[in-house]
Amino acid sequence: MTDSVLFPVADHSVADYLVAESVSKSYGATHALNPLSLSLQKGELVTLLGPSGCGKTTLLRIVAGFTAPSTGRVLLGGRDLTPLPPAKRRMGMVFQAYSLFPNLSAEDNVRFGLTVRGVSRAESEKKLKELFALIGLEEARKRYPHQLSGGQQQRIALARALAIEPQVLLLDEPLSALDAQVRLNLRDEIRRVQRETGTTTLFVTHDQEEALAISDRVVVMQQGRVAQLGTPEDIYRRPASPFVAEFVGTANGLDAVALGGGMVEVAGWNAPLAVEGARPFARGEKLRLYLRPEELRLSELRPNELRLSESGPEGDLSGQVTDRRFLGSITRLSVQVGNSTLVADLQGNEAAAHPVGQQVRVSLSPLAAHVLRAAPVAETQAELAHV
Amino acid sequence: MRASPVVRTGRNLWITVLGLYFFVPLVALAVFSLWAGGSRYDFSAYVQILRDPQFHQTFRLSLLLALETILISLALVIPAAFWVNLRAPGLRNLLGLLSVLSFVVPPIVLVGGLSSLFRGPVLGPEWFVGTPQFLVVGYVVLALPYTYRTLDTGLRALDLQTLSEAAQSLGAGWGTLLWRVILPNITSALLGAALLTFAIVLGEFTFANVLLFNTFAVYINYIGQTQGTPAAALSLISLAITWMAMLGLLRFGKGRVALGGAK
Repeated sequence: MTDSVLFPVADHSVADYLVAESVSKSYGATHALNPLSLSLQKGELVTLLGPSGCGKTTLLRIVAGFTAPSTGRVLLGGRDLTPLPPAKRRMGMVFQAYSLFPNLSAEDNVRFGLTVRGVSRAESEKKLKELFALIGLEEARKRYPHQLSGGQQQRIALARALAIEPQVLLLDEPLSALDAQVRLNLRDEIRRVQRETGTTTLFVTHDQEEALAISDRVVVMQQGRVAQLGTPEDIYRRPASPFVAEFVGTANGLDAVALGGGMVEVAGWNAPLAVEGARPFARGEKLRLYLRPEELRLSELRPNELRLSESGPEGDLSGQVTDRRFLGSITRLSVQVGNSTLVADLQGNEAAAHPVGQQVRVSLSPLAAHVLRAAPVAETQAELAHV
Repeated sequence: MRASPVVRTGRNLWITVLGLYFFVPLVALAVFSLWAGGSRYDFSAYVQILRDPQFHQTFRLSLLLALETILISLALVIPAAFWVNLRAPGLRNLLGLLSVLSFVVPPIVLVGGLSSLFRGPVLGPEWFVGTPQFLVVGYVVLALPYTYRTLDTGLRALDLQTLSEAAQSLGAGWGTLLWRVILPNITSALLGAALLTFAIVLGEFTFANVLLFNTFAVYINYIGQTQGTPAAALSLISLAITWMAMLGLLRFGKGRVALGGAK
């Protein structure tokens, strides 16, 4: 599927607010960003998700005006922003690195954009009060950046970016320098603030969980191209390519062959598997079968039921638990089925019933599996090597 | 971990020897500056120096030249160092090399070259060579290794790209960015560069002597060759001026901007 089919260039809807139209970026012979088009509607939060070097930050910087595109243009409300310098675009930006001005207090940092724009003292005071209330840091107004924690600094940076009432808010991996817990809290905070202010937002991250949790839509990028654009659920449940399936979330990826009639055969398994999504594929077609770990259910297989590596009438498989890892809210079990190792995520109590070495039946509904036409293995592995 | 008594004693001894090495000559100089013949000691040499109109005249001239040199050096070096750090890091080595050229070109050659250049048809005007302000041209070159290195170090301590982009995204132009974001965050480097320039100009002798301008350094040399105890007093006064400038810098540098990091 080409980008232009996914996002027709000349035919963006009137509701499109921010439009990147056929933008690309090359450095000599290196293509950081292949020509792509993307549009955001007003008030929407769209995330650019992908591994390092996929072009997501390049696209964000083109929108911000810090990087000139090699081709294409950036439109905002139908107006071409491409020739404008960053200072004239009125786009608030929060950076990955701490970016508060060290010589200014938190409130002076937030006031900076207002002063530059000549906003009166009284008006900026009012705005400051609103913004510090919005981010819940009223007590930190007089503190200097080195007196603030990383999370507080990023919240102040968010307030500073919002102070100028930006037409678009650009967030360049603002959470990646933070501790896990702070990161989770701030992630929710950003979403809340974005909803409350209704600011159109473009968010860049390499963290798929972050992208799924925060976005209205997600753009998965791969080697300077858009691999898939959709809602978080689309991206997770209906990945458009093996790359997306393996990059977003954890998936058991297996090579399979279509047998026709919604049945697939996995190498090393003794019996075929019923998979609803395999119906359109012709017999003999090579497929990639994806099973999400949380979709698999395990039950103990009694000795008289032992039929190792056989598929039952309802798509059940049998195998042996070979490993277990406690991950807090879930326990991840590895189950050897034929030549394949499947991972299954079970809740604490459920997992306790399956010790290592136990023979188990693995159940999955025909709707739980997702199949894609197989891509050359080397290609997918090379792409994921960047992750 | 606490150092052992032997290590501590050795360390203290070393510091004492070092202190004596620096302070004994100064104390001797101070004692000599107070000598008024025979076994009499008083401040007459200091009074003589401070009452000499030449002292005030040459000091004022050197002070003025120092201020002009500082302003011109900063005006030239800040934008260059900023731009190299932000946009052309590949040129940093070249600029660093150029800045230390004054170490390898002797001042006498430099002053000869500059005089020829300004007397020639290209740069001129010729009358400029006849004013003390002509010295500033050479002083800027002499101070360049110190101003450039100090400012470059100050700028490298900042995340220039992020700060610049943050300011620009908020609507700041280059002027606002430099004036309100960059300069306030490198005040220690600015003060350091200014102080070093001040010290260089105050002590520079060759340029002024060759070009026949009566600066503070030339006056010190003249007193040193003609009078004994006033020369010692003048040396100490000159040293005190530099020390006061340094102490002022240290005091002003306290409570400067804390860069980077989080609580």
